[in-house]
Amino acid sequence: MRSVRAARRKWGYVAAAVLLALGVAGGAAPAAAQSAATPEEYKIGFTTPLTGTNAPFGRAFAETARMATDDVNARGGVDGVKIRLIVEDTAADPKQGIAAFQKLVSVDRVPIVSSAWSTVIMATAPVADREKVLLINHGANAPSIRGAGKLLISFFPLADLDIKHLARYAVTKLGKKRGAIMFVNNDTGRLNAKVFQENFEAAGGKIVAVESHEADAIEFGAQAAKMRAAQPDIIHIPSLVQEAPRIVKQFREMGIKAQFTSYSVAESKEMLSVAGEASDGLLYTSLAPPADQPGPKAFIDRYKATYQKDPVATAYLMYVWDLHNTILPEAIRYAKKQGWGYSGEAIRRAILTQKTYDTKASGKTVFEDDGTVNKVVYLKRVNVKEKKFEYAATLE
Amino acid sequence: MGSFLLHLLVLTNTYVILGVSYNLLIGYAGLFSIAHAAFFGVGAYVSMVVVLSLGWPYLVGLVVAVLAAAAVSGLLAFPALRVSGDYLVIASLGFQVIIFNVFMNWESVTGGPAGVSRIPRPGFLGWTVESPLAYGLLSCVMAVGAYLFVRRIVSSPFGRVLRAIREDEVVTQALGKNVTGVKVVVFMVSGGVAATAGSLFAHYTTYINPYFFTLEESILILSVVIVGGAGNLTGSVLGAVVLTLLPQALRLVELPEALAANLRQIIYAALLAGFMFFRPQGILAERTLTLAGKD
Amino acid sequence: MGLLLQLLFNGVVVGAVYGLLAVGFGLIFTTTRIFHFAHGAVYTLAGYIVYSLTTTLGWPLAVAIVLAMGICGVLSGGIEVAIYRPLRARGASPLVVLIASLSILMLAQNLLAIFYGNEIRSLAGAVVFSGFEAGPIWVTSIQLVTIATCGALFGLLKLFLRYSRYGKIIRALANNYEAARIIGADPDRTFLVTFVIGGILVVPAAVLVGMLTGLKPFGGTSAVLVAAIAVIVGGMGSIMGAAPGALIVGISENLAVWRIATEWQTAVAFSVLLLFIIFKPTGFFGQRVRKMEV
Repeated sequence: MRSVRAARRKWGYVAAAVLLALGVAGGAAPAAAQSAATPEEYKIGFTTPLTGTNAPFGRAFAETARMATDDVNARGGVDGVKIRLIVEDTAADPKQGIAAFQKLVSVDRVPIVSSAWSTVIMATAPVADREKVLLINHGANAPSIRGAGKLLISFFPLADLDIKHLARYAVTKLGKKRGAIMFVNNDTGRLNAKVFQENFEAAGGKIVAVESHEADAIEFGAQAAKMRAAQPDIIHIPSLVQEAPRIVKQFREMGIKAQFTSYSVAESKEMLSVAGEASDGLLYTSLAPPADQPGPKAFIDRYKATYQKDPVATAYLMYVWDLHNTILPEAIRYAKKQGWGYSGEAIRRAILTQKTYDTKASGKTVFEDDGTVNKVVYLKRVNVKEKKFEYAATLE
Repeated sequence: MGSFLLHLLVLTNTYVILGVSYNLLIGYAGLFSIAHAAFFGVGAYVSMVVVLSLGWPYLVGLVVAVLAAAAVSGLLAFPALRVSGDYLVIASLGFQVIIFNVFMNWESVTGGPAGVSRIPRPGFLGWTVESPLAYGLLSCVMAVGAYLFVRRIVSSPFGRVLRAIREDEVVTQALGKNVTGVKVVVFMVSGGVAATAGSLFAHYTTYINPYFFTLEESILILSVVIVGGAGNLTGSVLGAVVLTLLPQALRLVELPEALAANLRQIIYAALLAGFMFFRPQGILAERTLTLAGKD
Repeated sequence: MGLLLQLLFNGVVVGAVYGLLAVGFGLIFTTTRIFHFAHGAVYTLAGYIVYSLTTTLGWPLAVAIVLAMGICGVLSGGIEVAIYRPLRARGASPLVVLIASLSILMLAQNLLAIFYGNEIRSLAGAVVFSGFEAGPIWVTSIQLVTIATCGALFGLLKLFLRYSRYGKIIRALANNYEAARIIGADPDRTFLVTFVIGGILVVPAAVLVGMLTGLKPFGGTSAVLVAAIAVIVGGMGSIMGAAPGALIVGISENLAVWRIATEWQTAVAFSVLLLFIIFKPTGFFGQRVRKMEV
């Protein structure tokens, strides 16, 4: 008995020591010198998946944000004050997203957090409101993001915009009458599917099959069989970067001949390397102008020069670039000029007051009063023979 | 910094509640289920539905959540009655998966994979628990309550029957104890207490989705109990503290970003494996004589 | 009707692959009574080994498979020797062994994730498999290869169990553990044999899955789960019974979507399992379940 009690005391001390160490470490964390006038540096938080299946995308986002911030700082920062970007991992998981956000806010004391992935944004928005931190969405497109937080701004267009145009285009311009949808069973997928279905039917088409799959799934035989039986002439696939190419491949292997459509996630090197010729002719919406226009081209060349590799999911990266290279610096400068200081609410006010930004890579930006954006939608096509993603049409 | 520490406090207390309730099941009763995250989730979702969708007070939500989780958990007792050991593991795994699927697919109630946000903070007769400090206090009250409650059970005659079942079920049955009834009750109590953690958690984060309650979460709760010491309630408290602080401590250390999540899991796994080899009874061994190692 | 037959066929193909996993797992479990979670780790590793050998080193597939079988057999046996045997020697309870096995699975999966990344890797590259119509159903080449390979392996295993020396000992241990020990069956050596065979069998399964769908570091968990279900459905105590058990799991998973929405697929499969456990715990081919087993 005595030894157990002694052991218990020993471990009690261990626990206390751990807590103490934590307290010291936390207290020693750099406290920003936030004077009302001008801080020593402008801290901006950035959360993204650095691990997990979305890591390739997430890391590219972080690299782009860093590149954008370094570029601003090289030009002297915002009126001489440099911007510091602090990156944390969300693994595209809401719980980790909240923890990452909490750390940035409590320990690093950032007033702005730039983030993406619909579930993460939805989870973080109420926390951002409570902490009075500006949450900016740079890549998620779930329509439920609109109004999800009072201090939330979505720089990325929400799905009801581009998918609406795509569905109508499919019926009116491509003449498809029997549509089907294969969506990923999460926020993005479900809402994307709903928007497509509503608009496809409103334009006069008929949805003959709706199937779903879990995120991280790799086997789609059951859905393929049901799709084949329903005989659609067009299948819309709002899925994720790893799954979409496999769906395309397995559907074709199952003998399905329908036209495939998707959204910006389809523009990935996995689509070509995994789906191969099965992806030929796939049409997808893109929210950034074609790569050969001056703005996008400048960005792509810059990225290649800095990181010695081609950008993935270029459309998304261009949004991250524009946000951290144009919009945020200009908003910070404006807020300072107006005497509003550097806080979440101040920067949000600045963005919604300035409204229009000449964002070069993703095309001109106009912010709405509700914190969302209006942008032009482009339609692109996968061309397997020439191994590229080519421009197909512009949708109004 | 203060609110970050209070955040850790609430998190730790959540796992204390989960730990002691799970210890009751696998440590004291020897019923190896790996579905605890499912009951955690049932507690969270039911409380959310009652308070957010139906608009009833928090305490009502808590009570309903506990009852619901107890009922569902009691269901798991039935496969346990038929067979034991590895069958129960699989059955509980199956349970865990099914309940997760219900959270994911019963969209009209649970919000599906997108989850539910804007869950209100708890309100007691007009006073809302808003500030981090208040919530920290609430979590401590609930954790202490759960601990004392389970401790009471464990030192009661019922607790002795549990341990007897764990050691030798046939003999216990032969001695005239209602083994079936006891098993159903312990499942229900274990699940019910876990539900209080769910209620605490859901109203704290104000946002939940099915991915908070996966098999990985069940394994984390398993680690809390095993590392702390199966059959020792104070051990579960210690396990909760260690396993909550560990990933947060790692966050403050500069781990290469890309590897952080995987490294964390590796540390958990190594911790578990190490304990299995060198100290299977956990940090704090069970206070009575029987060791966990018996074949 | 066409859809139903198609789903049935797909189920058979999927079930065949599950069968390879299940039979290996069942072999180990029935003989040693160890719940070998780490089987999933060996399975996942097998796929990545073949991937590295063929894609990174450029070796031909057949060579890669044979080499992988060797490595995985040794690895699987190694787990028994380095982990389970010492634990047994310390008198560890089955719970302890199970948790140790689970931690190995977690360790291996995360190490693979660090080394290979979390992206899904394809063993077939950008190859799109050809198919043809066979009546109302569509059949792809890889599906035929799968059925043929699995069938052949099951046959080989059955011959081994029936005619080889170790096969007989394994069957004796499976049938009646205590009696077999009494008549002198050497458990340690026999255990090792079952682990090695289990390790070898996962390789074709991993390769087939890698071609049909893809490789991911965390696929081992669900693979082991399915294997365990198949063993229960087939009946603990009957090693080959795990194969039809796996077929049943594969078929019911696919047939479930005939009338139920695909998102409920997994829930249905597991509900079937739970019903089995409650109403027919011996499975189709097993013997009476002895409740005092643990």
